[in-house]
Amino acid sequence: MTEPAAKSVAVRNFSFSYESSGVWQLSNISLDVAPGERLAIMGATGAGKSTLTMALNGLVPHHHEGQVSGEVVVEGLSTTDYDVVEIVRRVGLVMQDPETQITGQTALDDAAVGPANFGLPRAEVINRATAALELVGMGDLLDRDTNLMSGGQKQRLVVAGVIAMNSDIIVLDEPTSELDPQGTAEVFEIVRRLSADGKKTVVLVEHEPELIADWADRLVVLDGGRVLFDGQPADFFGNARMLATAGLRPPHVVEAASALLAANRLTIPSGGRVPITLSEAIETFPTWDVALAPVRMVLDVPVARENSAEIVIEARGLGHVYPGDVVALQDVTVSISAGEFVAILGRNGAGKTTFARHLNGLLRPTSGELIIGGKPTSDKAVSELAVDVGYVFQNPDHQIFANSVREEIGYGLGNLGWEPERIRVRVDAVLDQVGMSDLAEKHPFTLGKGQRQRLAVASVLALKPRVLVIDEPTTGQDWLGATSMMSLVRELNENGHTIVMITHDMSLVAEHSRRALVFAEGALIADANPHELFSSAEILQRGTLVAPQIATLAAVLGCPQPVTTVTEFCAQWGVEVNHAL
Amino acid sequence: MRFEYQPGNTLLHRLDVRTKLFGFVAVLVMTFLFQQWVPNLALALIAAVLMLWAGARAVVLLKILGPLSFIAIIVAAFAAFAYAPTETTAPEFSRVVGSLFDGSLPLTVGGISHGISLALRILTMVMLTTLLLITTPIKHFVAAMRQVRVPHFIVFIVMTALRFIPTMQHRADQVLDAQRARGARIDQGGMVRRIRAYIPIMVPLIASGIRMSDDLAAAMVNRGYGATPRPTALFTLQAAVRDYSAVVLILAALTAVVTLRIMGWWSL
Repeated sequence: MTEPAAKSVAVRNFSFSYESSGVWQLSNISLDVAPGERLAIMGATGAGKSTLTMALNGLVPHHHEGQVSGEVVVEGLSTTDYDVVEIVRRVGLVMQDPETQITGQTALDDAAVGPANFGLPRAEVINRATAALELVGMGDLLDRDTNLMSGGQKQRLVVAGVIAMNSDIIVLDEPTSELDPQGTAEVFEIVRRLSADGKKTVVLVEHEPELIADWADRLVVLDGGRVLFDGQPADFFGNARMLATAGLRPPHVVEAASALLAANRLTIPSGGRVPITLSEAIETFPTWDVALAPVRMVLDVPVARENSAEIVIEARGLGHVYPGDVVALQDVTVSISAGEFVAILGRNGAGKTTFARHLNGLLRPTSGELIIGGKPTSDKAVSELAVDVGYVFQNPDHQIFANSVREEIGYGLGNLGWEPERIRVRVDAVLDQVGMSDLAEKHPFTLGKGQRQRLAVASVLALKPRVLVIDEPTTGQDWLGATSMMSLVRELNENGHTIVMITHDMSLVAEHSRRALVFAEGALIADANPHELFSSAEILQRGTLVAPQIATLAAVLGCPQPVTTVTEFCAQWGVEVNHAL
Repeated sequence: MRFEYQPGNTLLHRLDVRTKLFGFVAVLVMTFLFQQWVPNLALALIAAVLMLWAGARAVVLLKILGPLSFIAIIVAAFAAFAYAPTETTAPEFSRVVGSLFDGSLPLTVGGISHGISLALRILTMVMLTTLLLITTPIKHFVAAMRQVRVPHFIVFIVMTALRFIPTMQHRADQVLDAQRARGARIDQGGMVRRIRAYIPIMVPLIASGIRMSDDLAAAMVNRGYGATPRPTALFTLQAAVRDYSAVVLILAALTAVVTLRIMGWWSL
């Protein structure tokens, strides 16, 4: 089976259904990838992105078996005829979750796994692994224990392991989805470097449209296992109807440009197109001028709640030192009032989680004190504090154990010693609150990721905590899932729950929180509202945070007030944004 | 972790893992050859000294031996009483020094020696195992397995299991925290209640373990696992002069002990 060498990958009418799933994860996909191309793949959860990446190197259908029709041809070899060990020499795949892809004890051991499996001479194996680690910026960490690495380092290590296999084609499946802004920037820099000289063909699955717009030559959008779009990224991002069908959001600048175009506040020269990157936007948008916005709208600027509200969380000189003299948190003094919506920001290891875990007693201060609802927490057990402070963890699968949604939600109440009848009534109320009443008897593992996350919130909400600590509520979810989760959180806040949200997503901060606490190296370095935060280069730099794209654009164009969301941006031009899809 | 490799540069760290394994087996054979308590005490003391030399702090040593000594004492007591006077070879060991239940359970000199020996063997074995683990990086054990031609899939299983112990430990902590945040009380109540309390911990942990093993399998194939039956080894063990000298010394000691033992020393 030979193919012209002009194509790196040719996917021909390829369909695939996992054994016993009864659904076509991919149906009738056809696409060609040219050598040296930078191809991005987008799509909502369940659109078939991961399945497609695994089809490109033969894991589908060899490792994950199922029903197949059509074929995938990689550098002339059909993946159905050749074994995976042959295909992986040509297509390297960086899968999701670096944790399960690392088998070596040290960085060098792990990066060497691929070439060692090929049986190459020892010197060659070490050379390749070392070179790959240098390429991902880990040349000085060859002997680092893989168990002691940060999330960003693990992700870069996995990329190095795939680079060391020397394939012409590299496929990356959402390599930045679980990283902090710094880690994301580092990994994306590697992707850029890999694809810079056109020697490697790079296929990238990514959910951040800003990153895609800036990098990709070509975009393929999947929807329900089919190719919805295949072409220039600008053609897709400029097409509101197609975005809605795919359930994706465009880059901020596209959203802003579309709104201004519709209101005749922006003109695009004939033959031009909607700007999709920051630099294009800076060229296209006129510098802000008061004359451009005769009816400039006054926005309801988010401000911190008045001081009269009751203080629910008060930390005084709070510090925590882990065994081995690791200072994780030092001298944090802050108070949070009832009804606030506070975002906790900072890079991984900055002390965000350490701080949050004190709030419900999972950690005890090693210095200073923490007062919840006016009472010191030192003599309270976690199970007592659970009623005051609910903690929703990042990964719902770390807590789901019951056979039904109802049982899962009732677990905490059972722990409090409630009677079954009383639990039933309370669970019904919570189910209603989170909009899951029709799923009460379902098995939690049959729910989608977004629904499981919602279930985790519900199971904590059942205890009626005044404060909800929510750790990365949108990680691993597509835009629709994230939006629906955030509207739930916002609703809970409006109903009086105090929200403390740990997040890496600066757009979420801009949209929802009224106050941000920024941590760096265990210290609280800033306590500001989003406007102050995103207009202070100093805080952003110290906290290794990146302002939302729209905030940067507004600053360059000279918008008068600090702008952190697309809505605020458009208001500067006197344009109201319709947020419906 | 008490049983993890602790980097160091003592002779014990530098010896080849194969030499250390040989020494380990040799001492085990010796402790079983010695039936009297004095030489066993000597071996236990040697093991303790070696541990301190290898850099284990005295506190760690006590932490390991503390809980064990309780078991050791019980074992010693039972063995001492269970030892029948007729089993001894020399009359002085049959001398009864006391008894329980009106003389139906006599305690002999030989019995005491036997009981203490058993207890000391346990302590010696635990100390030596710890010594081996704290002075030898995992990668040396793996290399040793590879060099004695253990099939690659077995080497891989061992390597992966060791690599994932901290990961699973971390996962278990996460699950435990998530359930504690919902008011779970794991350490309270009777036996049945405690076991029931562990279900919310075990179910997510097992489910996540299964998912991880599934992903790991895909990741292995993805890295070309199985392309050759014997992947290139990055690290191979090299025996040095010190290893040969150590092996000679160990052999000499072992021969001496066996010879003396045949001549009837240290038996009961």
